[in-house]
Amino acid sequence: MQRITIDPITRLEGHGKIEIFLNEEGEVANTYFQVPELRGFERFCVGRPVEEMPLLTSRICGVCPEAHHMAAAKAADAVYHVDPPPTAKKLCELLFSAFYFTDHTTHFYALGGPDFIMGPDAPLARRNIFGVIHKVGLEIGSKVIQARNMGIA
Amino acid sequence: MSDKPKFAMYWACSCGGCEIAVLNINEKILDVDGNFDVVFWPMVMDAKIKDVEAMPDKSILLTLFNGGMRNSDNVAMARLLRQKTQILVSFGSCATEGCIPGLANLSSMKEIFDTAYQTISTDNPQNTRPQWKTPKPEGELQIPEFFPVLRTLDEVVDVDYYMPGCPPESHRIAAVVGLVVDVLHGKTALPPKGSVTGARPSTVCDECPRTRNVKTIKKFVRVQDVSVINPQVCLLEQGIPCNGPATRSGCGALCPKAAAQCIGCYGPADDVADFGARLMTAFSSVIDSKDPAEIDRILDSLPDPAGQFYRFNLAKSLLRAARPAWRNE
Repeated sequence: MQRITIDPITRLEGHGKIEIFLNEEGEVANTYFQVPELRGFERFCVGRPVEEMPLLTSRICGVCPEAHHMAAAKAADAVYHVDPPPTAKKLCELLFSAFYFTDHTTHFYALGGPDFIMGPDAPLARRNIFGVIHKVGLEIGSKVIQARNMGIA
Repeated sequence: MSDKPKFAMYWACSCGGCEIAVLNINEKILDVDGNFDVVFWPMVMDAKIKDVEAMPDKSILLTLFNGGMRNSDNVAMARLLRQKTQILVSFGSCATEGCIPGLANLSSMKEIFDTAYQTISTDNPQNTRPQWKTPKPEGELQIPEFFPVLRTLDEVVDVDYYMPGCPPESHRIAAVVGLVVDVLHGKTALPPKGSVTGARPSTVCDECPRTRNVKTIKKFVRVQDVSVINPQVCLLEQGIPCNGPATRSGCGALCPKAAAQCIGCYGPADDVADFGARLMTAFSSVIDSKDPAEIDRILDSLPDPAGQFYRFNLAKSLLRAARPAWRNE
């Protein structure tokens, strides 16, 4: 049985590989998606102070740390049975909205976008954000970078 | 493919934040593209491990390697990229000192797997556990072998430079990229091998605008128990356990400036042998008591000493791991 290994899967956060098995007719017989990593957050968060959780869990994913930070902060609010004042809620929403904006630009320009802008058959060396910048030109590329920066700054 | 120098970035046991920090160098990323061929960078481009294996030895000029050595794949990738790379940078806190995932070194593998696969929040009625090798009708599947102790990159391969931070600040990355580009154009020379780059030698306290006055600590406080944080005074002197005295500077004291304690993400400063030991010394020196019983009470007000003193750097500390991890119980 022929085996096609895709290792690693790319343009996303995290480790993964895909094993595709082909039968004698060349048809896909079975496919396995594997996540070959474990870091142990479930374990080492146990016993740590609740106020540590936003800064620990934000290291689960460096592409979306704000989402983990917010979830942990909400959990801390729940532990203390408190409802944050309106200013605090608005600050949280402002932070999360800025993240939402940046995250979409990350996906659109760096992660998913190259498949659509360059096309799935583009050469490997160009099927990425650098290829996108070359295709759209430096002027538009710089605008994209400035747009990303608005969410970061 | 042009004849430009080749650039790679890889993640082992990490989170992808270092990659985002590199993307966030903004227009400087065009310098990376202008001066290098990016040949391997899983978060950003589609080259596979087999493509790296096919490259001639030392054909990659610069590899930014982030992530600790948690499993056999991490080690295999560290060795592969060392073989293919001229300048290998231990990039970010995970590769350099283990970072937050290094806190797993307080636990045994059994405890880690039991918590991940067998707790009340896990839907796993068959108590299925990861198997390094799984026979399937179509063939054998393999996942990497998990190690009892997470190690740093330099315990596994020779490292040329270190760039600490969780993540390294983007303006610091941009400066280092600028330096490497200048080296390529013959305008300057590389720093001595083994140097820490993209950071400063002294401590966060040296960059912190807060004023230090007198030894006043009668009790360490938790941030949620503080109603007002004085905007001018040292956080540690307000009883807030700030890691600034042991932590390498380079961030510009971002957190203390925002009234949040330094969490230690840039690792130990230049002359610090063990981060936790240095921080304990600093904390001890601000305690306002000479009575051993009272000093004990004050120290007991720190809720999580292991997490406080070794939050980012347990894997690079003198002990590196706690007994359950070493004994692989």
